[in-house]
Amino acid sequence: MQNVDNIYILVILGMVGSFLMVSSFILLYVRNQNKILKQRQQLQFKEIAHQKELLQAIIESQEAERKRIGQDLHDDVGTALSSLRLTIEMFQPGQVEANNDKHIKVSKDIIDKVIKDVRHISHSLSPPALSYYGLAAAIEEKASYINNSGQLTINIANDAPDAIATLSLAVSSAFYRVLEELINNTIKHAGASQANIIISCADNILYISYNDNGKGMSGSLPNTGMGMQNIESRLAVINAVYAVETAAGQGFSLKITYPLA
Amino acid sequence: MSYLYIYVSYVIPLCIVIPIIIALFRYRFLSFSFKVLLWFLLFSSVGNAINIILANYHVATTTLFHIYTIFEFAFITWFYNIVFAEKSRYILIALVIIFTILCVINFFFIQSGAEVDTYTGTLEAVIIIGYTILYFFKQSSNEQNITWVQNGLNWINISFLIYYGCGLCMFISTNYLSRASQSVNLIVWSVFDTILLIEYLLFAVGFYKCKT
Repeated sequence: MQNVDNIYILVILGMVGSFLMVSSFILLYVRNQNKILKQRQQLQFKEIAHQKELLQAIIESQEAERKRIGQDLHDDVGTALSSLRLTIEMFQPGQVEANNDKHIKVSKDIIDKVIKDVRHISHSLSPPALSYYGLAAAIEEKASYINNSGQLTINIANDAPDAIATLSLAVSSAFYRVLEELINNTIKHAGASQANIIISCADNILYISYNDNGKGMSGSLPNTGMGMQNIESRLAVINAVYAVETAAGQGFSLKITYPLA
Repeated sequence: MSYLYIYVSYVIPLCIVIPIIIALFRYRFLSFSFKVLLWFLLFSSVGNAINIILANYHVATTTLFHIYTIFEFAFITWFYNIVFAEKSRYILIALVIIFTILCVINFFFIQSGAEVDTYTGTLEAVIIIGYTILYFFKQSSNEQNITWVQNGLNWINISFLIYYGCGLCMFISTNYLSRASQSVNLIVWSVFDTILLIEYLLFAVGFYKCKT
């Protein structure tokens, strides 16, 4: 009888022990599941916040572009047209042929200036070379314009002309805007004398490298800048990725990787 | 009649109405799996009632356990069959058929109606623990958008794990208990029935959370 009773004590202890083990397992499992859920939610929130930042950057850059166009129209075209109006208003046909010719020449010069300004504004809005001759020609045109201005010397090494030629207009536009943004950043902030654009292709992947010999940046890249966010959002749309290398006094370098297939 | 006797014989069997009431209260939100569980509880409550009545007339109810085990396993397998809702469906149906055959063999050739079906009862508990672990495995593989406690099925699953995991010792040793004194029996059964009460309460929480 004694042996039988001992078994019952063991049965009770077995049940209590199992209960403790099972409860501990469940508690740990629940805790772990909730932790994972919390981490995922935090990640989602971060992603949404980042998307919002990118959207904000796009909106702000559009606004900045509109402002620039408005300013260009007002300062260049508007002023030139006002000047033309004044010239015409002041014109009094006289007997002296030379005066008449002078007025005609001044008016023609002003009209030429208006045509040039309008062309400049329209080119900066949408470079015709991009849609007519492709990305390589558009970059070369831009580089040539910058080189002629004397602000910066840009060297281009295009080792993948065939790959570049196959890019769609949307992708070409994105790369063009990114390079334009990088050139603007170099001119505005880097104090560089030279910049290089190297285009290459390997294993069906297009690489576009941009670097300058400016002052570079110390520490991590400021991701809050409108320019960098613009670059990121434009590259994200076409599924391209980029990597930045920079250090104080050692210039700035950005490498874009774009899968062609 | 001692308090423990009332607790074991009447209070705990009656507690099955708690999850049933919650389930009926939330009936319009119940998915099919929860409805299967409700039918199982209704079946169990009928079993409990017959057991109490027969015990009061001093009629041996061990044969009932043999029949109950078959239906209990079928209901719980049906429940997990719906929850898993995958290729395992046919495996589970086959499992019910095989288990039923084993129960019949056990009843006629191994453990007669005079004994409780500890072999098949223990086997049933082991398989159901397997279901609960499989559920945890599948649950951890899926991406969850709600917290663990908000999912009613999670509560049902842990109630099965607690009941069958902790009651395994009891299922193994039920026939030994018949040799012990009534007082020892009452103590052991009251511990086991407390686990059963926890199962009913967890069922009730599961039914309450069924909407998610």
